[in-house]
Amino acid sequence: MATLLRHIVDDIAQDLKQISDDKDVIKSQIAFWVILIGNRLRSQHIGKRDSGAFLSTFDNIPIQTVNVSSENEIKNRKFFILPNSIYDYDLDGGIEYISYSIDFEAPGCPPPFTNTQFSRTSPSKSRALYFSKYEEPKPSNPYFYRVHDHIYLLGIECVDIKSVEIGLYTTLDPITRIDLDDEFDFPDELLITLKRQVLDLGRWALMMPQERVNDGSDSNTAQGIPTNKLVSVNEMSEDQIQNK
Amino acid sequence: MISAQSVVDRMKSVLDAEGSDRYLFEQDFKPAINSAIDWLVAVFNAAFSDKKLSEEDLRELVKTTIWQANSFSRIQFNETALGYKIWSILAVSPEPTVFPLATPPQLVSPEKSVFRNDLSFIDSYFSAKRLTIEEWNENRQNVFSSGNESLLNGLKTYSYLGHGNYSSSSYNAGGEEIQIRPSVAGNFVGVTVLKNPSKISLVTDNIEFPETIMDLLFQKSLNFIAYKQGDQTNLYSVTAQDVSTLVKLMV
Repeated sequence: MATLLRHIVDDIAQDLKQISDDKDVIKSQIAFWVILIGNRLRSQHIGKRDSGAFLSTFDNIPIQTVNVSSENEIKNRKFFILPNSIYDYDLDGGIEYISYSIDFEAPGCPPPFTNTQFSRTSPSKSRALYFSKYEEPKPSNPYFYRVHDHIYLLGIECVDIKSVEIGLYTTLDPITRIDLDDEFDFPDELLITLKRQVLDLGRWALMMPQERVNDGSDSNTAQGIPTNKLVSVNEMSEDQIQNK
Repeated sequence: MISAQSVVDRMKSVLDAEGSDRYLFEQDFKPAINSAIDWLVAVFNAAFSDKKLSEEDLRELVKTTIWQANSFSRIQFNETALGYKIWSILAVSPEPTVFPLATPPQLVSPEKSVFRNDLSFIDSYFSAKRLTIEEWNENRQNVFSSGNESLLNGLKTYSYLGHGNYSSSSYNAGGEEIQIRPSVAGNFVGVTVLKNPSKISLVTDNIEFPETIMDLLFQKSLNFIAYKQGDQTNLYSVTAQDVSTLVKLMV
């Protein structure tokens, strides 16, 4: 049985004893913590493994142009908007592929999305591509570059392409969109790490001194902000050992 | 329920007044028991402000009723319709399942909430958190606070603001109201309250406290009788000490 986000949130709420109507930490906050830490662990996991376990594909993403330029949108340039937030890996690695299908018969009948795939470039590097006839952007060798959530396409200016297929490493949905009863798209082997780190966050939040709570009472006994003792995991230096 | 007769009998025994007219029900026992009831309410109030007691302690007084909120998501507890006075609100449960199944009808007056005596509370997935007046407006769009109006998906939470009187020349809800957020305007709400315990008037009456606090009630009643006996009596100091011990155990 798949782990639901509800199971994780309820488990942590139970551990933090936040299960009454007068709780200090509500489920949306725990879910937010799960997403915060989940995204970090998940991006590290995806970055380390060549796996399609967390690849999301989207078909028929419409290509657009605008007639008037505005922020991040330049008129008469073909682009599409990312359908979801993605991890910002080096060299736009959050985009696994972008492809479109052109109508020609290739030997072996490869699936359409393998016909033509876009290569990654950047606005500043794209100029140099046009100096080489082997690298020049053209319908059979198109490029893309990213500007925020806009993906601009080079080399298809003269052909009429309506949509593309893309493969993305998307982030977890924000709390405004998540469904607690959806399967939590997260590596099972990292659930224990996730839980531990969320509990640490929760513990910290619940240790806020009562003086900082607006309950209308005044207390003479000062309470300091609790601090965690920092312990280095590195070996001691020679100086430290000698001065110990 | 505790029968008043059993408390009186125990008090007579301790006072060594069996069969005598030294202590009379009307003049001595009834005021003492009613004072003890008032005192218990006050003691429990103090406990509520710190932490809600287990409902087990006051199970005779726990009542859950169904109300239809007015157009402003407020409920005025009409104690005349209810038939008893409310001591404290234990829980507010929006979106309840009711029995028999019913759909909230159109409100007759937008500011009047309605007590539904014909419906029973079955269950709900929601429990509203009580917010203070200071927290109420500040957290309206705080997605991490109960009762915010921004998160209305599966992470929706409810909160309620305690009693307030919003009456004006153009708004007459009939008294103090609680308010619930996100809006439940015109919808049913389950409300669990503690009924204010009734005073006794006859020795055959029942006291609306569970048997478990019989000893506390008896000791405190005795304590009130002891006032009359003046200073320097053993009865007062003994009962005061017992009551103190029992309160520590209860609260």
